[in-house]
Amino acid sequence: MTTKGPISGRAVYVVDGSRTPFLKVRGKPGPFTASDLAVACGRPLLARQLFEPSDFDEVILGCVMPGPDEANIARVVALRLDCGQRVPAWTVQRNCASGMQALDCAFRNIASGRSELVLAGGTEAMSHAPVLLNDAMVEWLGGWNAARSFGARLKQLGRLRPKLLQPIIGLLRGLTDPIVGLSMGQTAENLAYRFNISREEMDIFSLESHRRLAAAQDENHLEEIESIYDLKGKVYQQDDGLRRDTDMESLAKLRPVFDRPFGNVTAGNSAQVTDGASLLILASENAIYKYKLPVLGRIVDSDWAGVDPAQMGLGPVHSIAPIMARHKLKAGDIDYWEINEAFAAQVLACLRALADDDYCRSELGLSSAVGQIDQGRLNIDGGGVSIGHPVGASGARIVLHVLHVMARHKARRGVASLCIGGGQGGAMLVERDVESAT
Amino acid sequence: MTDNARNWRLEIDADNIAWLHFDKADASANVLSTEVLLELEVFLERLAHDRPSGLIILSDKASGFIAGADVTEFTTLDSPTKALELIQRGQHIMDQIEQLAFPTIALIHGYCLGGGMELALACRYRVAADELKTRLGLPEVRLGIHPGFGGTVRSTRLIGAPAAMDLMLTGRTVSARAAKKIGLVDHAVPLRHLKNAALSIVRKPPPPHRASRWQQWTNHHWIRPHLARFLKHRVAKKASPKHYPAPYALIDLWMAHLGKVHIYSPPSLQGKG
Repeated sequence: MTTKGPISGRAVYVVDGSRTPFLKVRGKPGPFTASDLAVACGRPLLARQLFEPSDFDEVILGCVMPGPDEANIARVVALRLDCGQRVPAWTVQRNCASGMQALDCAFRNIASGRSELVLAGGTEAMSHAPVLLNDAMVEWLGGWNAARSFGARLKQLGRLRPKLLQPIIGLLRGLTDPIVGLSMGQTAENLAYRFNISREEMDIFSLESHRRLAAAQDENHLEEIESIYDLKGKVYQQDDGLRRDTDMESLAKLRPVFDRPFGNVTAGNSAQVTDGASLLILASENAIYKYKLPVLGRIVDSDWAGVDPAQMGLGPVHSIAPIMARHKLKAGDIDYWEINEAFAAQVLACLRALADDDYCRSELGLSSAVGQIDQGRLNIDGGGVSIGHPVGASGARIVLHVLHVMARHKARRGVASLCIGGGQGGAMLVERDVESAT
Repeated sequence: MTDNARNWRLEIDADNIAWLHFDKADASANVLSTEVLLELEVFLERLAHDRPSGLIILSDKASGFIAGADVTEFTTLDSPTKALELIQRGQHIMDQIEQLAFPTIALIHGYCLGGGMELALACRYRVAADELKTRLGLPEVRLGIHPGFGGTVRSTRLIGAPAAMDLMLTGRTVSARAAKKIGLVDHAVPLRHLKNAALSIVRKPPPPHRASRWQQWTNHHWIRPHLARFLKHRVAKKASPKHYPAPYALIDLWMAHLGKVHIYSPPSLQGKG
């Protein structure tokens, strides 16, 4: 473990935030593109602020697969949100943690004094992931364009073969590690094997995720969600991947998706493929006073770590541990946790690794385990398995949500963390002043 | 419940599945020495009596499953009788495995060679870890001998003569995936699913692998002489019969005796096998 220093500089506050409902991908492009989603949750968020959208110093968005009309999607979103042409905007990509990366960039820029007020977050329309032509087809099209005469065109037509029409599914490629050649689900299978996590444990965890989301919806604990409307006037108010009717029996019936026929990771115990966006407003102390802004919490520290791509799901362990070491914290010092549920097996593996003395000694160079995370304080309103995991947006969602959970419970400290395809982990430590924030 | 011998450890799990771990004492690789085989025989007799719901044979060595027979013992063989005794003990034990009335599975990682491959062939199913270091084969010919624990019969029967003869005459080893392709193993799976695969076989045993129709034909007594001539012709390009008799003996054995198992039993040893 490399010990990097904490971020030094000015305090960074989270003012407010919102997100769209996360909409499950149902086999065809959804009603919203990635920029539509960010704009849809951004409009009500900005409408309730006491400052103008043009007062932002910059807009930073994370997105893994923007659409063809969304080059530098942050700029597209900033302009559509009426931030005006003078507000610069940039897009970041750190795979599954792109949304958290955007927050981290805003955090650093405010801490260092380069920015005062930043709109940051992430968006992803996984249902709009590109379906690509293969190289042979592109070559054929090149030949077609070059063919001028009728005869040449006829000849080129004769070269058209069915296999040229074989598309490349961008989403599947994106979810496969190009270095180790494993799909994300297979990396979760690796963790289940290493930490001896059974199918039953994964399914129990997943069932609980759905139960928690159902309870959170019933008790109106997802106040950061803004309803959104499609062009036909249909309204979307809640995360629609929730299955209230699921039980252990139906989860046990599902077949493995990634390692057939003997695997344990199924669609039921993996994060859902969804569309969604989440945006936060980050501010310096100056901006807080200038615009008389409320404070939801403070971003205190962040960390990024690299791990074996074949075991990418352990990323949170390696990014959480340095933060805990820097602030001399043990697991029990954190009031609430959000660890993104890419896979049930992956979150369970992180919990075991963090609580395991041997793992923390040999892999992290610590003298003892970081500690046991109380599952009653982890993802208490559900997670990726029930809510969904729009890759670019999840990192922003979990930071925003852990702050809401802390506000609800008048808690002081929270950690949000996620694993990152390609073998990385990201984590953020947030705090609230219990006295002043009430 | 566990039961330990010097080189083996038998565990019966809650589902009454027997896990027979091979971990040769004071060695980094598993080889089938006389002591190992004698211990195995005791376990097999007990299992035949106890009838677990399945038997899974696996290695506790990181290096692999079983690297072969203990070749250092060959140097102490000073008479044909002793050699015969060793071979027949091996054959008898492999037959015992084959005759067990419940599913038997060899769980293979790393090296599975020679006598180890023959033991795996005596099991009803074989599951191999799809890893770089997994290599399966019958490389006896490279030592100037040929498989002696029934591997010649079982391999040709399982995957047909062309593929089996190719393995035995060249002594080359194959990867888990290649082994799956030719039918030598039932499953080539990532290491993470090795045990899952074995368990799913025990819980719901599929029909064991059988050679395809044309592979069975290659062992037909009408076909055999022609194929044998062709194989000898191919071998002659690489090795002269004068200096390398083993491959020729192997072909002759196959041509003359396939389907008859105990062939060379002299009177003194009969009744044991």
